[in-house]
Amino acid sequence: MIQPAPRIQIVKKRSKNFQEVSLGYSKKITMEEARRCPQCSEPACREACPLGIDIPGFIRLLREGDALKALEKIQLDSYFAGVCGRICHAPCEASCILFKESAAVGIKQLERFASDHGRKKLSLFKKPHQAGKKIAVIGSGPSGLTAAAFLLKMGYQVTVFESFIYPGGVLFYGVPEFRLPNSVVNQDIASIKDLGADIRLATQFGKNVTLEELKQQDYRAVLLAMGSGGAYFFNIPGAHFGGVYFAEEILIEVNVYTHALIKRILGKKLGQHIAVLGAGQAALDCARVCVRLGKTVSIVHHGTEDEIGLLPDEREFAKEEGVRFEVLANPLEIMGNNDGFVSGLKCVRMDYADPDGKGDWALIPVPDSEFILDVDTIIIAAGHKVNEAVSLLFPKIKKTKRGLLKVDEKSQATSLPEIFAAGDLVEAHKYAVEAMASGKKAALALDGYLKNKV
Amino acid sequence: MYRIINKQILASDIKRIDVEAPLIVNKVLPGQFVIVIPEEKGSWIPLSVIDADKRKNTITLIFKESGEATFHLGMMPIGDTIFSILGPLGNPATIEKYGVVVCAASGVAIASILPVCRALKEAGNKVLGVIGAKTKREIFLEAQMRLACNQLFLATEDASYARKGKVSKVVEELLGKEQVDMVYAIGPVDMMKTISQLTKEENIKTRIQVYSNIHCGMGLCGSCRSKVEKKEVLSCLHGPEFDGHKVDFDYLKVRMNAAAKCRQPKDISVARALQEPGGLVKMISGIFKET
Repeated sequence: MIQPAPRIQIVKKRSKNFQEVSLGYSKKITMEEARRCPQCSEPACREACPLGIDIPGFIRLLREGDALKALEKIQLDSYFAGVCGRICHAPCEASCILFKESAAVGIKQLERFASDHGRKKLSLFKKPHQAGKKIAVIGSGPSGLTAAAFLLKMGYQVTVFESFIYPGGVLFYGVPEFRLPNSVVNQDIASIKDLGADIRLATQFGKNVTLEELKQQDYRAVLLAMGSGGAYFFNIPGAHFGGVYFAEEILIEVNVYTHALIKRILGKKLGQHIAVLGAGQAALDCARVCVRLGKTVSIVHHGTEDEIGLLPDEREFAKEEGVRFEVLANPLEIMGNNDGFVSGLKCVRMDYADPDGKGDWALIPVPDSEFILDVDTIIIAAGHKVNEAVSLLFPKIKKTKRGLLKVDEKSQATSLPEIFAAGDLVEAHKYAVEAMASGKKAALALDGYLKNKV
Repeated sequence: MYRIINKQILASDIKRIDVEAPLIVNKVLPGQFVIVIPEEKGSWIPLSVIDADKRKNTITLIFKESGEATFHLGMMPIGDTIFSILGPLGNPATIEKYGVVVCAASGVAIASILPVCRALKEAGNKVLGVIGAKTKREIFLEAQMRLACNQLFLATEDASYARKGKVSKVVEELLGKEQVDMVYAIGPVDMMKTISQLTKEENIKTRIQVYSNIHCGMGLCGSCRSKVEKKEVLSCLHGPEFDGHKVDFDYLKVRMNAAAKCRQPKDISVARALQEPGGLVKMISGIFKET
């Protein structure tokens, strides 16, 4: 018995459009797959889920194909069912008791089915009575919006301040359309808006709205959830040449422009031969964007192939679409021409070796194996820095050695009074789900703090 | 919310619009910029804020029609609504009482120097303005600059208006004549580099503004990186104002060159020809002549 694969767009078609690649389960397969769940009395999947979704509960409802009730069950713990059904790394499936025997239940795809098919029938929520204290949430990413949703449910009045023009944070700007359509993010956010969230777009905290103004308007607490900072400046010579971009720039452009504009602007900006430096999910996403624009792309990574990306099936998709993997090659220098544009990438081969003969094998460069990749555009996807904007806003706030905010483990409070923090400001999360869990934790902590305070 | 309530053509390709922006108008300080998004899912344009009218709730923006996005913005009529404006972004200019200040700008940057001149004069400085462009057609805001400065010097490269020469040349002469305490320069990299080198010799404080390919405006994408004191900084987060003596101009030049080449295609000749009377006929006859 194996886990059924979701329907996917065929390679020929999908490598030319920006529409979603995976299309999810059909109703028949969903019902069959839901019946495979053994309904454990002490479910390991629920414990593994950072948000603590009642997984056996919603799967039981899906046995009869009742997507609406399943979605309502999921929404007790998570408002991002559509998002998580697509981009979650699914720790629940890894801990499923069927995982060792045959194959884990396809929980992620089932959640997606519940979201896609239940959403249409979802009637308007009974709006919770809002008479509680006013709370300002800064940032509308996964952690900020999750915190806002749970605070709204408890009856607080929540205002979310977002500095960009669309809500969603990294879910909107950081994940391309073919992996997570922006309409799905908007649907999930719409259910949070239905709870009564006031999301103020294009309003930057510290510039358009200051802390003093919020205090004057009787906001009792401020939850900072601005996420991580900008692109990490990869320490490689020649990063200033024309034709060197950071992954964030490409991903933002792909998400905010129309398809015609993407083809016009990005098609002109990017050259024909592209090298992507990095091995994260952003690197894989950028490479797949470039493939869709008709470029030849290779991902340059010093390690092995199975380190690239976070989800193995995404890596397979990329391979099918024609992304080349230049693995075991460490980029040394970006070469430029006289005009100040990229003309090539100098790399060195890496290999596992045991130089001392002591048995500790490590990746080291192979001597005299330098070679030049003939590329005219480089995309650097080397991760994020910590958020610098916070220290510009609050110079006195206490930080850890790594530059993250120092918060109280239990109450999520920062060193300044009435200011709390959640998400990537507090801990560098690898997955969006972990940031959502951090938001949920902060919401519960804020509730505890405000209840005790008169 | 972001309605265009006034529009003016200042010089060839250079337009000025007044936009209602209640969230920005009370917060913006001289030297800050905004990102204008003319239509939904369209391109983002960084523009410095020239003026903020608190009674009318409007901000004034001046831009040159150099690409598709700015051309689209220039075509929007009075009464039309801009999709969104993000801002104010960047740090405000450092305004103190220095004494005698030279404010130099050339080309489109004349627009960016005007609010700085006004603020410096208000702080009690004696402001000597120097503005220049390639030809007379590209000089604009002359009257406003005359009001904002104690004395204004003009220069064009082809001697079609005022004296012939470059802005940096005029600044060099001024430095020889007067006891200058501070220099503020905005413009092309070469001009800022020459002026910074001049003032470094005489040990005069120099501030410059760097607008190198600003894209997201919030310090996320790293597109506007430049080098100050061997450290990579972002124009949008740490700037746009930097100390002229510390900026690595060679690095900046490569970045600006890259930005200029990556700008959107300039395929707006037809639309531009339609604007002026008999323009289309001229364009078509031009094509026939070429063939």
